[in-house]
Amino acid sequence: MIRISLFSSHIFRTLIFSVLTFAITGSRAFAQAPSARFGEVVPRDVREIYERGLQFLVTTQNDAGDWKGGGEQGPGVTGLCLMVLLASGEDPNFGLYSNNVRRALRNIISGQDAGTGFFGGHSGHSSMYNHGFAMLGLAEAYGAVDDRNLWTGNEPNRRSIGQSLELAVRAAITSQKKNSFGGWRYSPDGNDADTSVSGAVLVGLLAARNAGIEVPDEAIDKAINYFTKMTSPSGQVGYSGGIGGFDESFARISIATLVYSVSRRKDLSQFKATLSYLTQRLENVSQQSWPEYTRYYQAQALFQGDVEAWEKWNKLLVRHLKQIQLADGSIPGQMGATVGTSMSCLALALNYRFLPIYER
Amino acid sequence: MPNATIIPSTDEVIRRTQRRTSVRSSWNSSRLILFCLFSQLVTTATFADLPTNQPRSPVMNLTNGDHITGTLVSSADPNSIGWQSPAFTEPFYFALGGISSVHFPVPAKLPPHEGDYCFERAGHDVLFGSLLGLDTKTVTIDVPKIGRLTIDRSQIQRIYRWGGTSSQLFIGPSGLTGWQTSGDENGWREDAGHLIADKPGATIRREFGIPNQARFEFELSWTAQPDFELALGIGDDPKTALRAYKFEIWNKLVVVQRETEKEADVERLQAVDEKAGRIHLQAFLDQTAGKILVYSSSGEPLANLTVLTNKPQVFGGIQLINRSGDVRLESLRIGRWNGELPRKAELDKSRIHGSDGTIEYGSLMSYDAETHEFVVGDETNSKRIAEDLVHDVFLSQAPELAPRSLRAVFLSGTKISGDLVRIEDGMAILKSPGIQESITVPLDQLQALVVLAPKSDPPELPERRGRLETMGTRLHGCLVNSRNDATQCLVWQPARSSTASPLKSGISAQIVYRDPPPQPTPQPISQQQQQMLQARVRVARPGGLVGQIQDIFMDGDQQKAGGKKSKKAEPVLHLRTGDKIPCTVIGVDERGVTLESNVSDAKFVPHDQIQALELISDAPPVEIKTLKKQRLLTLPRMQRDNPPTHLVRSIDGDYLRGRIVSMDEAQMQIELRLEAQIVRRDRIARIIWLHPETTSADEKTAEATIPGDARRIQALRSDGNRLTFIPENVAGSTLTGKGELLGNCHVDMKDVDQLITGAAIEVAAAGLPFHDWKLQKSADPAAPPEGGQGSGDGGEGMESVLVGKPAPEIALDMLDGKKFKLSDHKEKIVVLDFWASWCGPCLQTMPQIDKVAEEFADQGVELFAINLEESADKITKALERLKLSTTVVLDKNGRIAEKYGATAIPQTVIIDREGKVARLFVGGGPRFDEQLRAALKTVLEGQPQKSE
Repeated sequence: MIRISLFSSHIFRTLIFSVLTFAITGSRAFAQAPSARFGEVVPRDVREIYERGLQFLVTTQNDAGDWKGGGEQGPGVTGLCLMVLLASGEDPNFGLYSNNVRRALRNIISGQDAGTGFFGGHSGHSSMYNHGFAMLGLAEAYGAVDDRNLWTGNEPNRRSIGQSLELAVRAAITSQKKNSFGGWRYSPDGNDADTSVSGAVLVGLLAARNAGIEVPDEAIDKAINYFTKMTSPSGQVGYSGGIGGFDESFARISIATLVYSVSRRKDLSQFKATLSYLTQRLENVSQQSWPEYTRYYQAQALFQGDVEAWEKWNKLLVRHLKQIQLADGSIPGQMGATVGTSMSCLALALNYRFLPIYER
Repeated sequence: MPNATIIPSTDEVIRRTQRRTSVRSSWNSSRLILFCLFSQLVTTATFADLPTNQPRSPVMNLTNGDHITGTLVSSADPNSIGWQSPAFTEPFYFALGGISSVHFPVPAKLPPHEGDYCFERAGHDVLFGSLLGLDTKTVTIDVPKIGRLTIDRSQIQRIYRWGGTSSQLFIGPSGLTGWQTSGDENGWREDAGHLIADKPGATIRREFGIPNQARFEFELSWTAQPDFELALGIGDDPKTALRAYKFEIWNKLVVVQRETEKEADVERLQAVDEKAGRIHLQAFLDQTAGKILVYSSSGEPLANLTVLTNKPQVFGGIQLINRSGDVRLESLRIGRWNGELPRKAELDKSRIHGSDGTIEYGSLMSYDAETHEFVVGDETNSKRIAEDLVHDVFLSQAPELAPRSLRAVFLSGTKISGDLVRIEDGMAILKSPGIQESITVPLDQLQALVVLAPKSDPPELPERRGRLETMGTRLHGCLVNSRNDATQCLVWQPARSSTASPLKSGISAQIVYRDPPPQPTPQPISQQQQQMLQARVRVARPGGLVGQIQDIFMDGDQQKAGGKKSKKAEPVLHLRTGDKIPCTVIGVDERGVTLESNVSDAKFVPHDQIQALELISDAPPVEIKTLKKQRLLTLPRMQRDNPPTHLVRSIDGDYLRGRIVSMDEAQMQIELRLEAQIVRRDRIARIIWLHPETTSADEKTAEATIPGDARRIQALRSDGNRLTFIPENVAGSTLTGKGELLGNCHVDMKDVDQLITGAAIEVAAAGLPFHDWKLQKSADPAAPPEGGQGSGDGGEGMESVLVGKPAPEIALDMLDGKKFKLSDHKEKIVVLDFWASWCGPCLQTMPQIDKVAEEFADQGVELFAINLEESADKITKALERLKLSTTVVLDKNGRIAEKYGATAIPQTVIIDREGKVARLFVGGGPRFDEQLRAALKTVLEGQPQKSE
């Protein structure tokens, strides 16, 4: 059902695959005090949780470079795990996990549709989520990973990261053009839009733009415009469709906060509304449906929006993840161990600030 | 229980009346009015289906009142029964003289009596089975589950036909199965098939399908001063008992009486005194004629009453109430009555009662199993009587049987007694004087084994004797010296067993040496203290949270003085087990409390073992109102991810809740939600730990997650202190062991009130101070079930408050331009489907609703799809896409949706022919059609279409 005044978790559950998104940010300008940008010394708990989660992902990666058997899978999930590898601080080209990084990249790129540029999902309508998160992963790797030695055999689609990313951006924009809302839905050809899928794709586009790939302003503006229409004065963010009706989804509120921030639209009243909604309710790390998805976005939204609030919330996050992390290092989530672990690690990774998307 | 109190009151009225009048009387109208009043109240009586107090596993009851769950074990000793309890590693062997009975679990429905005959044997044995043969010496019968038995004929008192063409409806009772009780839950119990009550107001009833003309024979007994009421012919409505014929006690008389709205009558039957006694009566009841005939067991007429009612009805049940004293229903036979009156019989002679009421005296020679005839008379002059014509055969008065040690009571109603030979492989082997064969009793066919052997005195046990309680078991006895194996430290010697056994490790149990004294009532706070408190509360506070904290903890000289004074008392650490450690607290960190103690080797206690810390143990008590405590312990939804872990009480009685990060000699660092604060340590009286698992009532494992070694034992000392440790040895009256925190422990059993093991430690601790401080989650807002009701897992559409109310009127335009008015569609069943084209689930559900409505169209079901605030263009396009031609009504401003409470769509409403909301479904789903179809069927069944 659709709740008129409430967003239904039912729909969310039935329709969504792996909800994911990252926040990419791209500006490399040094605008803040060094502590905001570089952070303080990373607490021991953070290091331990991250390291154990990372080891779980490293040991569960397939030879083909992707992750299977831990719940949700596909290029989006591979993109998330790739980011966990990149955010570890190890040198992506020569460090401990450089092979894992290359395997993941090859997997994503070789799965890209040569004609349309879409990163095909493993299950039908979920493809735009996959596309968004895979694009984000590539954007984070672009410029950081030396791809001259990426390909070693006769794999299909032996593109460079840049070529693949450009193709992916074009695919996302083509899909957006078909969409009367200016957003995205599960199917590349969908004419409906929702703020969850749209967040995944938009953050991917913003990351690509920040990495130096050309993304037309018009595409970003259209998408931001869609988000502002879906944001209520209270700061709640609707899910899909064209009318008002908002329930409390920290994930969507965080997505909106994040896309406003990363697109440098903190001037919007909607940004102020969503951010203040979050900062007034900081004591949330796990209550909602899709907790890993929620905390993944909430971490970035708070970090981008109000670094002091993030610091408080982050303490709670660390305490919570410490409690729920399993002996094998995985962090359980509603979408399986791979997504649960990767999204939770990425929520923690703000403490390291290694990924370009974490720049403020 | 209303009936428990009201019925006696009613009867008091009757009795007072009766004492004045003679035994026969009629009621006057004023009494009738009073009576009606009581009748009204009585209707609220409720009955619970039995068995409520049936054991789920076999239970052995001992003569000293102890009981023990477990199973029988094989044993060749005829003088004892071996018993394996799940709580002990080895079996106990109890002397027969120490056992009163063994009860086995009884299925909800008892198996029927088997065979054509019921044989009454001397000594209260009853055997159901087939008659194989009878001669002057023996009776040969086949008893199902036992087999063929050849019984000394002199032991058989009576044979009567059962089943087949027999008029018997019920022979019993055989335990409580099938009966309903009300009043005290344990008001009725069973003993060897008899039903016993000794609690006032205890009531049983049962429906037997009694016909209009019925015969009853019953035996009731009591140990002293009976006061009961047996009603024959009652229905489901408790009021019917008031109009029924009743046997009851009036002023030391057993009487039979009936009173209706029209008339009343009563007849005395038998006098009773304060001693034990019994009645054995026959009653012949004709309900439509309002007539009852009562006879003694020998056929002596005692009463003949006719009390008419305006509306004669036939009710099939009986009810027995124990009003005070005790009563035991020993036997009850119910049969059809052909209207023939019983004839007086000469009790001392053997005879055959025919089913036509005739009595044939004379000796019974034999039974011809081939022709199914009884042969009566002597060798020269004999007469044959077909068994079909026989109702009852009385043989000569049987002599008392020799004492036997056991009686086996079968589920099927058979009761047979004998001496125990042995128990092996789930069988009890008995030998009974007068029965040629060994009796093999399958234990799984039994309700009970009742010990008939006389009580014997138990052997003397060493001190200190106590009572062990665990898992449906209570055993008096004592701890004896440990065996060599450390896991077998606690060895229990029950008073009635010839052997002792180690208690299994980790079993939740307690050994009670001295019962706890009654709870002292808390000292109320003095008026002066109250005033002081109020004065403090009135002090103006700086604004904001920080201001309040300062106020609570860092305010005023007068409070400082209090703090200094309190420093004299030594802090006490309360563990979750209930142990108390007087100590000096060095500090608190994120792992736990660091301390120094004279009584314990412990230097550090982790948070998860601590319940409270009294820093100033003699801080003045401060009253805390229930509401305030509730508020302190309520966890708002917003804070569920960040619950407070501690409640800190200031020396003035103010409370602060948060997460203690650290504490040293000077100050405490505490996180109040996400804000860090510093509090001076000398302002803190005590800290209560709020443990996370206790916040969620829904976590079943909450109790089990309390840390602790399963082998722990807790000694509750007579001085109130608790000592928890792993037991290692028992020698004489000394128990030694090692505590995780306390180090080596010695306990002299003489100083102990209770020893507690396993999970019982936490149960016992739950009643201690500070242990009831548990966070409660605030209630979640009501919301439709996850996934909507349409997902096929539940909702019947009855949850909405609108259901049953008149449907709000609708007057709107339709898509085709016509007008729609709901009130024009009375006499139809109207289905409203609230939808919008942007709502995916609506579009998924609409075709299903359309199809179901189509199926019911010929039964007067009409569907209207109410669109919410969309343009005609959008609606038309949506319908085209769905290829539907549903009639659409336009709710342009959403007012109708509002009236129907449609805050979520799709919402489907069924309105019945009377214009009332019959069902309201929120949500759709792939199987909504099934749900809607079922709902429409039900609504239509209630209101079929009127034929034109």
